[in-house]
Amino acid sequence: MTSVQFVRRLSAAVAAVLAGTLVLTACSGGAAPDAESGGEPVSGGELTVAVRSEPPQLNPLVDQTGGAHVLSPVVDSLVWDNGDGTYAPWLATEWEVSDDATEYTFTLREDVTFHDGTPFDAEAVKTNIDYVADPANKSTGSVAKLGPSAEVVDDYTVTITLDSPESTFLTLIAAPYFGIVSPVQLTEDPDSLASSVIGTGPFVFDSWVKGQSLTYTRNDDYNWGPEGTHAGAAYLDSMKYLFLPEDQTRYNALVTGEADVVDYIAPEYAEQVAADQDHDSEEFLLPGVGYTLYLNTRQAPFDDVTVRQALLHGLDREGIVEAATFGAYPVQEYLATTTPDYKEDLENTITFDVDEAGRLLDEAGWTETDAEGFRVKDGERLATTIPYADDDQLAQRTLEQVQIDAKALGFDVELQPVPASDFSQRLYNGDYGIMASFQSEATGMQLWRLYGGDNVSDGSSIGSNASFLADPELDGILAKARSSADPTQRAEYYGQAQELLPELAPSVPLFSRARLVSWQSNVNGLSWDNAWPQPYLFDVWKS
Amino acid sequence: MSAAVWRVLRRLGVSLVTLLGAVTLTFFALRLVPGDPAFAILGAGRQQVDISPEVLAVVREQYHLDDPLIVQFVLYLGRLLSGDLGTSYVQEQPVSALLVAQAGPTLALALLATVLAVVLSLVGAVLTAGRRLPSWISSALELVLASTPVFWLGFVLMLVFSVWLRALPIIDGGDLRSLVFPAVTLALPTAALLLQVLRQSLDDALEQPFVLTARSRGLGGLSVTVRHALRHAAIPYLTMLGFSFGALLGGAAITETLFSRPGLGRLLVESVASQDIPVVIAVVLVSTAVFILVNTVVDLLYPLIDPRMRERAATGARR
Repeated sequence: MTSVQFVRRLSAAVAAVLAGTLVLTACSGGAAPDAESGGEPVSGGELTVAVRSEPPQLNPLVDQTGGAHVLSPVVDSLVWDNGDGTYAPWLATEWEVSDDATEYTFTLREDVTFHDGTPFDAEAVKTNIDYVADPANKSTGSVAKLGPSAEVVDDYTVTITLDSPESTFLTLIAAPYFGIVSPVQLTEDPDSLASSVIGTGPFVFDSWVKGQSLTYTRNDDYNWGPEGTHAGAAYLDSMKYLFLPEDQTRYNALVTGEADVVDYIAPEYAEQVAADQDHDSEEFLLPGVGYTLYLNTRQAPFDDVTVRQALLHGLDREGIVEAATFGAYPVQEYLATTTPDYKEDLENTITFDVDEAGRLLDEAGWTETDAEGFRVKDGERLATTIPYADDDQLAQRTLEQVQIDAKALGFDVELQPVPASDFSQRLYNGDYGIMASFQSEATGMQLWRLYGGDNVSDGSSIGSNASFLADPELDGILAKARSSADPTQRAEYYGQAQELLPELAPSVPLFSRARLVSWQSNVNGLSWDNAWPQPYLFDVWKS
Repeated sequence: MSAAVWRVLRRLGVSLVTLLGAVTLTFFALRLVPGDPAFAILGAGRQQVDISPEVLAVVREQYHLDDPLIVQFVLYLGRLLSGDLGTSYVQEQPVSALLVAQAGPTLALALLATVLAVVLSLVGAVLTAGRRLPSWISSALELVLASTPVFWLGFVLMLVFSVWLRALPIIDGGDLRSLVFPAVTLALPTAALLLQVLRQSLDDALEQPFVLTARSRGLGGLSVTVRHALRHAAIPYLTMLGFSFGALLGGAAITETLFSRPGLGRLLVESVASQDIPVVIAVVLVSTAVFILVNTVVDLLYPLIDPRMRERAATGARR
């Protein structure tokens, strides 16, 4: 066993013991396991859902950085994402897509009304699109970026045209951050969206105690759930989201029964929850590019593709992820396995090979070694920095493991804890050697967002391509994928991109994050919203 | 002009300068922290968010972010003087509305914690002062409590009383029961500090000749402590109490997050994290004002407790 491996195993063992004691102390007592529940759904009751983060305001159309998920009971979308590349009717009964994926024509349901009594029609959809497209409304969501415009064909038919083709548009609008908001609220009282929201959903906004909870009551008129869900209104009388930012507090609320459903169970408790008889749980591997180290290709040493490849193969990704996440999260390639256009039979997978990494670094000219054991070329040490938000413990654990492995390669990696605000500033200025971040979106299009040469920050606009990669071949493939309305063809192109990425090595993908949800055994009917993976609660009932 | 009025005016002036200082410091400190406020306003935190140049321009224009910092500060001060605390960057609501909504829960928490801390420290000090073994045990306990992080203490209390004993709820149900945890968590370290100060002053007082006189008149130990020594020990105790009220406001930031209670502390923590500058400044302003107010009240209490201070104040005015 090398010393690196030893340290890693030791720290993993210590972490496991710590996690174990936490869990043990937290889980004595409790009722005997419940008998198999189920049977006919019954109406009534309030569902209490403990979640991690509170939305700063209640407008789903503004941004998608986390708050919008609690709005999904109030707002409906045009289509439902089945999670397998197909879609089911929701507020739209059918739709047509132009071959180049720029024009989407929707036929809408005619029996839908908003909570304020406004009828839902083509004009309402247009108002929502117009709102998102207007820069004055500061929408930073994926839909806004596509430059959409809407045209009312007739009362219940609307055509949405995009500035640039986007073949995954239906997934983007199936997510709650493009939930349809009452046109009256959008045009006459948009400021009210800071503290209330009017949609067409199965639940109606009731009250929001900031810093604590958000309460919804049932919409008795609701009869337009997405295909595959039950007919009529929701079973629950009301729903209450509790905002519990502390992982341990949230877990404790599950143990004491104060919450019916607890979202985002931290990895430390994953094993305990899985073994637990009192609660049911399920995890969803979040799709997209996952937790990845983006190598700044504009700076030395990562302007040299050989050095990038060396790091890609020289890091023991399995070991790093196992140690940092207590084994709760799996290692992934450039896309998580749950991403719709993930290539199942990927040939060009990332292999861990220290010797190969060493050979690559030699080839790149980093042949000498200094007193501390780091590689040197022309008097310069092979070194880089990784800033990370100082309150992000998972990042710290992960990056410390990266640092250990890099050192074994002769690569000096400096970790820089910075305030969260500085983290975003550096991200946009490109002021880093390596930027580590987690990103999730249920489309292969994320590959374009993160690696597209035309999605780079340039001072006036901000792009997500944190590696600053600009590879003509990759850009060509991504452009074709985005303009292929045919799902098979789209998957083919995104597959090619996944095969090409390990050669370009713009980043080192590490792990997919699992969203673990746990609930009391009297809670039934919980399913998943695939467009933006999160629990879907319309079918839920309590026995 | 009468001396009393003069004193009050001077006090007010000093308070205003202090408030202005707090606002100025906070404003510039927040803007010196790296990080473009425009990103904060657009919610571009630690995830990569794509933002078009048009949207970025709208934000810079709307919040005057392209003006020199000093111009922005003057604009802010002007609005502040007219009573406008501005609009939250992130929550898009008037800051004053946010403050009003969050002040009540924090006030309730801080007051209950103060009452608990005062009761605990008074009882503790009276029972242990002047007695060797109880003093020794108590000071060991104080040392542990005063140096215990509020965060850790809260978790332990939660584990014992909620998860194991199921005696108290974790989640705030809006009743007094759910105030117990956070208040106790907040009160214990403060009580320990107060207890330390009070017992030391009591010990000093108990060595004064007047205590011997009181004893010779036949008064018992406890009676001497309560009726004679306590008054002597009250001044340093009150001073400490005034200061620790400020610390309570800081501690509230931790307990409110831990126990998921609404309040100014949690608002502050979240606003700092999301760089919501107008909210941070406003919370700092309010906390400073409360701190000044409490310490002014403490100062006014001194002459009531100690007659020598009344005389000093009077002679001082005659000069």
